[in-house]
Amino acid sequence: MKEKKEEKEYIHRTWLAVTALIVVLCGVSLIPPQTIGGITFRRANILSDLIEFDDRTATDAPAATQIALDEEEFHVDLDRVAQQVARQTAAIETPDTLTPPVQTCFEWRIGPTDTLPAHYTPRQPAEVIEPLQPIEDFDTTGYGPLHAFYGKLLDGRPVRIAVLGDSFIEGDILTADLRETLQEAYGGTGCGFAPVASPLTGFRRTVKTTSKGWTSYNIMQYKTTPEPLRHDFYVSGWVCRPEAGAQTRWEGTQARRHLDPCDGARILFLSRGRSRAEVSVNDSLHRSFTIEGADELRQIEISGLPIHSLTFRVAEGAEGMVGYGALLGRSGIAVDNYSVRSNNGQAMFRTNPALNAQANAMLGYDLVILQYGLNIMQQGIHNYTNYGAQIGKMIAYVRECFPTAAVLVLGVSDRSVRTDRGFEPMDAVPHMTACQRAAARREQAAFWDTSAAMAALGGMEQFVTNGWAGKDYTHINFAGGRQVALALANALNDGMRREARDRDDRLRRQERARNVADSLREAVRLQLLQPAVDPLTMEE
Amino acid sequence: MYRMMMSHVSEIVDKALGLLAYDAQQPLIFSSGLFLFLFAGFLLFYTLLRRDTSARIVYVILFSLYFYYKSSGIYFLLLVFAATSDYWISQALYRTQRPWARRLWVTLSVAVNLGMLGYFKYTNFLIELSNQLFGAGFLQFQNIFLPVGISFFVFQSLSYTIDIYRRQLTPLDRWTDYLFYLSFFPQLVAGPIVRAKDFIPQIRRPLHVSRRMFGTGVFLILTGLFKKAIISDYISLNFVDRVFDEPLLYSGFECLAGIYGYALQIYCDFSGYSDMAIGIALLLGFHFPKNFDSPYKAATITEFWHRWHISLSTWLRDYLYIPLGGNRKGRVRTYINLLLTMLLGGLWHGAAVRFVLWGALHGVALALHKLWLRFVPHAKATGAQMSWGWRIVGILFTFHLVCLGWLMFRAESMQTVSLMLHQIFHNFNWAVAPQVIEGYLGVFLLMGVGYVLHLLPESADRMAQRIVEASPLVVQVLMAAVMIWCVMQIKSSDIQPFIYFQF
Repeated sequence: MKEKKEEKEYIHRTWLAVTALIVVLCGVSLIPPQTIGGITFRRANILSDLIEFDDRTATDAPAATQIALDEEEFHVDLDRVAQQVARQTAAIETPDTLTPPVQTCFEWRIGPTDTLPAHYTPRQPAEVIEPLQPIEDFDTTGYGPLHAFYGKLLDGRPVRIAVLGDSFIEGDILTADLRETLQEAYGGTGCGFAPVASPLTGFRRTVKTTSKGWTSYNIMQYKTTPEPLRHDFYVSGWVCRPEAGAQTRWEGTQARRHLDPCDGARILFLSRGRSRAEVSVNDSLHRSFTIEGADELRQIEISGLPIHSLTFRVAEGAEGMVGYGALLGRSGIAVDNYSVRSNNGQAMFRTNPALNAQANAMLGYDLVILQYGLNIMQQGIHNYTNYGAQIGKMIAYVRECFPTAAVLVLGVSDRSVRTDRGFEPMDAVPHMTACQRAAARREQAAFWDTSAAMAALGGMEQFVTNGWAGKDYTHINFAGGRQVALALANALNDGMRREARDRDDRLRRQERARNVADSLREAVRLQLLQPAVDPLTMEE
Repeated sequence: MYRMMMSHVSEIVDKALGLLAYDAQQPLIFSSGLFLFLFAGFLLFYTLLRRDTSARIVYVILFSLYFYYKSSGIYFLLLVFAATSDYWISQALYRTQRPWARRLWVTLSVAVNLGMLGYFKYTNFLIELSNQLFGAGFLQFQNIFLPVGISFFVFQSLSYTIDIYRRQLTPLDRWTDYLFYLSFFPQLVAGPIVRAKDFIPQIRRPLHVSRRMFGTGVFLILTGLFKKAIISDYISLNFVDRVFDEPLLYSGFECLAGIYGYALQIYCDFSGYSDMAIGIALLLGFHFPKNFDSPYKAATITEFWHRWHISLSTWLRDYLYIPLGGNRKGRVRTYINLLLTMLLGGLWHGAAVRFVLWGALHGVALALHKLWLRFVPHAKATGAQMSWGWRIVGILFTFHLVCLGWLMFRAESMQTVSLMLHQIFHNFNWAVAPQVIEGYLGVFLLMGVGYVLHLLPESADRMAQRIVEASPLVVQVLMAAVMIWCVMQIKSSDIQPFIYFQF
């Protein structure tokens, strides 16, 4: 019997089984998405290449549903921030005459002359390439800080840009190429801000950092950071506590042009007690600095020769010291990458406004770029009004701490999600972009649509295909960062070009006005020089 | 209303026609929905033609060529060319008795096949090497399309002519039979490398699918789908690829998990596809040899190569290692032959230095194991001969050695290799392990399931197979439907976001 069963022909069964399977799967395709026990099951549509079902209403939150935000995380008292900054500014501008002034800057000029030029040579804006995704400036005054930023670029003066962001720019992604492109066009050297120590220094290719003896704390770990250090964050988002003899060595790399050597450097730190720091340049020149204790931010400024490597060592007084990092490069364009992963911008509210103001007084930021929002977005959620209000607060906070800087809000980058038809753009992207644009408009800041710029390059799916983005279809890599940076630099070049045109128009108008005034003056003068005429007799 | 319906139907027809056309980005793979529909259509006539062998052969050839066209476009002609060339060469070779003429014919066959392989697969690699030697721009890179599965069908075809040369096989009388062998779609794009002498006797045998063949076929397709489309696809997209892309963003623990993940991914991907190929062939009445035999159960590197990609390792043994002299020309030559075989075996996997290094690692390991067996008195060649304790030590050691090989195999550059190792040995960070596992729970669960299933005794595998075989057709269909439903859930599931652990 068994043998007979074994002999039976099953070839028909194969076709029957496959056909039955197709019928079952076609039936299964009609079952809409289900949520069972908190787990959402998608529609299993075997015919997804041919027939699409609109499942949005079944799975998505209602359009009115706002994204959930931890209000406490985003809490900030902007009035108090303004008071703290005002106190700090007053202390810098009108020092107390009764107590001796605190030395905040320790200069080490190596070599006979300063490397900075005595006179700045005006620059021409670089060529603008199509397609262009322009910066939208919502400033209505016509002479806002973005105009001042472009003006400084045109004048050939040094310009400093801070890019505050999340994991999207971590490790100098995007900023490395933005810096290189701008330095190539307008001059400048160095990689900008490099932390004293961080677990991510190895990932950063634009500077080689070797450190030992530092314990670093990230601002996203604010609650678990030891109490005295909690108040020592500035917008870099990292504080590092040294042990005796802690040291860091920064070395330029060839990852991008103009990084090695750089033409100057600063080291930022706090020294609440008396301390001694040793600095070495190019492993050959050494100098020791004794620093008296104070609450103010300190800097050691090195200039006068090309710097390939810089070493900072805490020789004494480690207990009162807090390390931040080095800022490599002095002239031309400097771009500082201040990225903190998982940050939606709220971390800046945990920074110390007085320290931010002190940093600004030392570094003089001309442009602060805010790159946030990627972690907030969720597929199916279209209402980001409450997050928009937080962006408004971020812009206001930055303006309090960095009053000289223009604020540029980067719209959220493109992102894809997976459906039964493959990868598709996340539906939340245009809504988040609209919310960010609206916030920038309300605050009269500037805005750049990152997702539109990426869409012009093919969008996130194409980025992944090209090897420009990770397989999470969210984060770009260095290659993708280069593409976005080129588009952003192109937009800045366009802004500069417009500013140059406006400046020419202004000059022409001033010239015309001057000519008219001169003509009028001449006419009046001639009138006055003519002999008086009796109006009745018309005789002299 | 009617017009709207017609326009809708016409839109669907247009889409369907578009799907049927050649698209290098959308090759026809067994785990795709399109294949299921095409296979159903194919089976209908295949069943109807079961008594007419010649018509069935032509029918299968046409379907196979279409299958190949879908992935490689016009290059299906290359397959036809390879079949024609070796068919005629083998005829001439068989008719000739003079040794030098026979050598000439077999050399011609080897030259044609390796010439094709060399041109399509290795031209740019050689240009890259030349540019590294003589300076950038010495030679210009060529835009050469790599026809899918060329490495497999070239080796299959070589097995045919070489076996005829060795008088182990008589040539086929019909060109169509040879084209049928070479183009048979189940093994066409990713193996197993089915030897001519194993396959040819089955071509004209009366078509018969027994209950056991049917059940085993269904079982292999289900396990293959699970391995390829669930485990491999999920862990690669959601974890492994991103660790290998930017190792410095991850702790040493994640890097090590990434390597373990890749070891499972490559096994599941490759063996899963092989399983499906063997299963589909069984449903069509053909037996293919086993290609993988739980390779990570191997307690020595020699045993690993008896369990991993068996059709390739035996092909390399019979058509490369033995012609090089095998172990017949002294000890030193044996080691050199092993190394050479594995170097070329590495190169077969891909045109890049990293594959050569991977081959070299295995070659050296195999040679060292041979030395070990010679000089250590109680050393055993396989785990089955060892005590349990030694076997476990051997399995762990062999697995990690193989993982080191996979690290070289997968990493884009030697810099990535050194960065991964640096993270593992200098930034391991045990403390993040619970967070990592919690954050990537789906990935770690699938990896756990994958490894546990892999390490289960063979009896468990046989029992599961028997259950599927013994199930009624309705249950088998429902099992397949559930598996495909799971695959579709995985395919459309949310991408695991990056999870940032506090360092």
